[in-house]
Amino acid sequence: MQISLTVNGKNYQVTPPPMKRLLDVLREDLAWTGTKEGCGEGECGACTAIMDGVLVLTCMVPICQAAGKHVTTIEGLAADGKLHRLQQAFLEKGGAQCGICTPGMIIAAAYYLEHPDEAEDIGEALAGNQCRCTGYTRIFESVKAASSLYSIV
Amino acid sequence: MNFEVLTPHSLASALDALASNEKLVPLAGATDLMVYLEAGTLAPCTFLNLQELWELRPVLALNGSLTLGALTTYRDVRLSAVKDHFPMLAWAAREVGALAIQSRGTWAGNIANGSPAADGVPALMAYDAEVDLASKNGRRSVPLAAFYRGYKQMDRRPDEIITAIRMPLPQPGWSDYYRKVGTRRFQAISKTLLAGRILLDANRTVKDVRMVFASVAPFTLRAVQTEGLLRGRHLTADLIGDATRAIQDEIHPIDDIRSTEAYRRRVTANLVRDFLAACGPVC
Amino acid sequence: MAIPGKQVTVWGSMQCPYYVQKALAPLFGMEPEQIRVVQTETGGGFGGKEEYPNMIAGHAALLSWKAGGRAVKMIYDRREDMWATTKRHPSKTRIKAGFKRDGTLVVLDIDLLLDGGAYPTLSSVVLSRGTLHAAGPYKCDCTRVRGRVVMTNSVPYGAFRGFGAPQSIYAIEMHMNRSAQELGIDPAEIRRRNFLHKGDQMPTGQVIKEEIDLEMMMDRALELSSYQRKRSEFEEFNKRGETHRRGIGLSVFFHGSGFTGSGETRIGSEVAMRLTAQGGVEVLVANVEYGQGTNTVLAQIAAEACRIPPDLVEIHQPDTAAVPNSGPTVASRTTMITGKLVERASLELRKRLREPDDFTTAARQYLAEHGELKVTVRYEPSAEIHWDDETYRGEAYAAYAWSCDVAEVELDLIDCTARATNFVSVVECGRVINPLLAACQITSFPLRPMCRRFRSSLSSFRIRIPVPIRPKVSVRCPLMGRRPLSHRLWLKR
Repeated sequence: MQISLTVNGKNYQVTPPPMKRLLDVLREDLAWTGTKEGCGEGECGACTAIMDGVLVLTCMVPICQAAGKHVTTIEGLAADGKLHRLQQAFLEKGGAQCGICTPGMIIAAAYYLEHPDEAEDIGEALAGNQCRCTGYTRIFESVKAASSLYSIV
Repeated sequence: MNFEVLTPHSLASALDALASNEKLVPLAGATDLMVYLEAGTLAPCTFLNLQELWELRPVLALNGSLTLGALTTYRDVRLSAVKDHFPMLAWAAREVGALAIQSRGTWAGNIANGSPAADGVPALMAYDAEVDLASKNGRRSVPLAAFYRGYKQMDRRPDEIITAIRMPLPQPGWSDYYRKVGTRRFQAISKTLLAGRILLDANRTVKDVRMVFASVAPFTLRAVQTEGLLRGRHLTADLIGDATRAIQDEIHPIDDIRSTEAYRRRVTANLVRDFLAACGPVC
Repeated sequence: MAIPGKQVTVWGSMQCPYYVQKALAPLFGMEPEQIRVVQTETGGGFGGKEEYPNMIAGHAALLSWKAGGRAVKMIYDRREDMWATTKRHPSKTRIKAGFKRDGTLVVLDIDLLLDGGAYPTLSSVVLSRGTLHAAGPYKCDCTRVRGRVVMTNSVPYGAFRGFGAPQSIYAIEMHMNRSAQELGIDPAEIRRRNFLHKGDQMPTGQVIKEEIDLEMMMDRALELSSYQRKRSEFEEFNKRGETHRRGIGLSVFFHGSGFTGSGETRIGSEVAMRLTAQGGVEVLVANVEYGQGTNTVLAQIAAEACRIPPDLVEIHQPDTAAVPNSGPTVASRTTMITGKLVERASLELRKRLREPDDFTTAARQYLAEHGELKVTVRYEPSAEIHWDDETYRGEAYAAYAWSCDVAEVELDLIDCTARATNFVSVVECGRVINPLLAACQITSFPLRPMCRRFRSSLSSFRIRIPVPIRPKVSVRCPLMGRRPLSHRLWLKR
């Protein structure tokens, strides 16, 4: 099955088995390894990406349903050699420790900054992203710091 | 992975395919099926990918009743204005996983998956939803409250797919209650859940009531007997006590990995009391 | 990847590359040097990757051996991980305590029982730490601790954040609360009356040689959490409360840093460092980065000791073919033990460069003249610290961290769940090398019990970490005991 999709602005043609997970296509076929696998069953959020403007878990998207879609992963956030303001905030505020949840966490946070009305607060916006290291407080602080940067700009 | 996918581009061709191959598994948001597939519990099969069917597209049509297209997601409902009339739909949508699940998972998929722990089905059932089914041989509608027959057993023939979900517009005066009890606030599967609606008159008499429970029976349970006990009666502390006891005979909770029968019985009674005590206007 | 008769190479997520090497050598009947183990990006550690990677590495390598040397990759899915890898030991502790009427502790009899699961794993060592922390930060001249781990038919239990200590600390702290209730004394006051001080003896006979002011730490925690006010407020609230109850409680505890007893002496860690072409240094250690900041902290220490910018410090990937055995990345020992060795190696480099004002220029010159400069330093046991594995007497740990935590919870009587609503932690953790990373560790540790016990993983409770009250230099050398497998041990005075 030939499928075309766009990842971080680049077009790709792939021919994976149709039920292959978008996560595996990203990591194995296209070498976008920033997106991580945690639980593999839709509970941890490590594999979160943005697909056609909505937040998705790439372990739950069969590649046949990603045909023609635009996918943004953690690698798509930094631009012109400059970190995204969320990445910068996570770095400065200690929002990341072991790093496995971080790509999904930052993607979900980026989605929230763009769509603040879709969740009641940061807690709900990041509720689908589990972190076992940080205790979340520093992640929340990082997102808050990034969002205040956002409002100034 | 021995899984094939068929992606039809019209409802007619989808129904043709279903008529000729009853083993096809309809695939909408994939949020349940991908879990089974990954866990290795699905036998090799061919999926019928519904995502390209224009006839099933996410619509939320409000004219005397509400119609949800079969591909309507939880997110679609949270972002729409229908929550002014059907607040419980938005509350339920918020309880499904978290945002990334809500943007993919569909209401119809929640019905067709048939899980007794479904979060969306109790809200739909409490709003007296009907399920529209289509096959090559025609269309029919089934009240959601009569749709389930046993664990994962439902009134859908293998050649049918759900095309829409319809609900009558609620009359003024109803109060809604929705409370899910899970291990965490989000991203958890319920241990028990109550979707309740009640219509009281000025004397605090129960004119009508709906009580739907998840995770305490083999399928989403509308507690018809307890509803009957309440209907037409004056809502007093005694009656509330009676309802918390009556519900114990209607539910069939079990011990499983998520919870115990004892916990589920106790908390379900608490939810009934909370619903009845908090929902009606005090007079 | 295992090539029959020649070499085995393992890449993987792990805390202790040299443990894997040691486990695989007898498995393949080869010399340790023929087994190469490379740590790759590891994710979180928390003890779960202490000794269990030996199993996965062994299985993958045997499969590769069987396949004639083809590379084999092995990943557990979530279910397999739950079945097979190690978890925290469940425990039951019985405590009998005798108090004077004024709340002074006079006798303490503790019986700690751990469920060891069906496999030995690290149970005996977990038991050791659990036992040594069982009496809490209290002075009691008549203490008996009985520690046992028993074999059951359950999943394997092993190292998990705190390594047996959280289990026994939970027990003693709950017991202090109940004793306070019995005696009609405030839980904070009963603790205050019994705190350890400099000069006091712990149950192993270890005399506390450093100043520690638990009273001040507790006062600070009580003040930050408005403990007294909240206690009376909550009492009022609970009297009229309908569907919720509120509570506030505290715990005070210590945690021994580094291996127990003479463990470091047995390991004899080595650290190497060499000059780089850029005029900086490369640190060669087997300790791994898994998010706790190993690489940052070791780079800071090396940079400061060599007097160069941190950018000129490189940390070699932990690879048994390239780095010496600086010991496992466990037991809060990396900063204390390996960090100290990195400092010594840095100073040694400076000495060999004749204490240059400009390290970078001197390093480049040295390399141009001599080709290479690499120094290796080895852990040297301290003469003033003694530990006896047979009698369990002596200095169990060379240094301790101390903490007072106050937690507020709200119980929901409808769904019978608890939610943490506030958390204050005051920590005396000695000299802090990197304040941000230290704060990250402290804010993260309450999460574990909260996620497990309480309903909301994302409720935003507050955590305050005051700057360490009185910075202490605690980089000293502990001794220790990896005790031979024993399911029973006694501590008597």
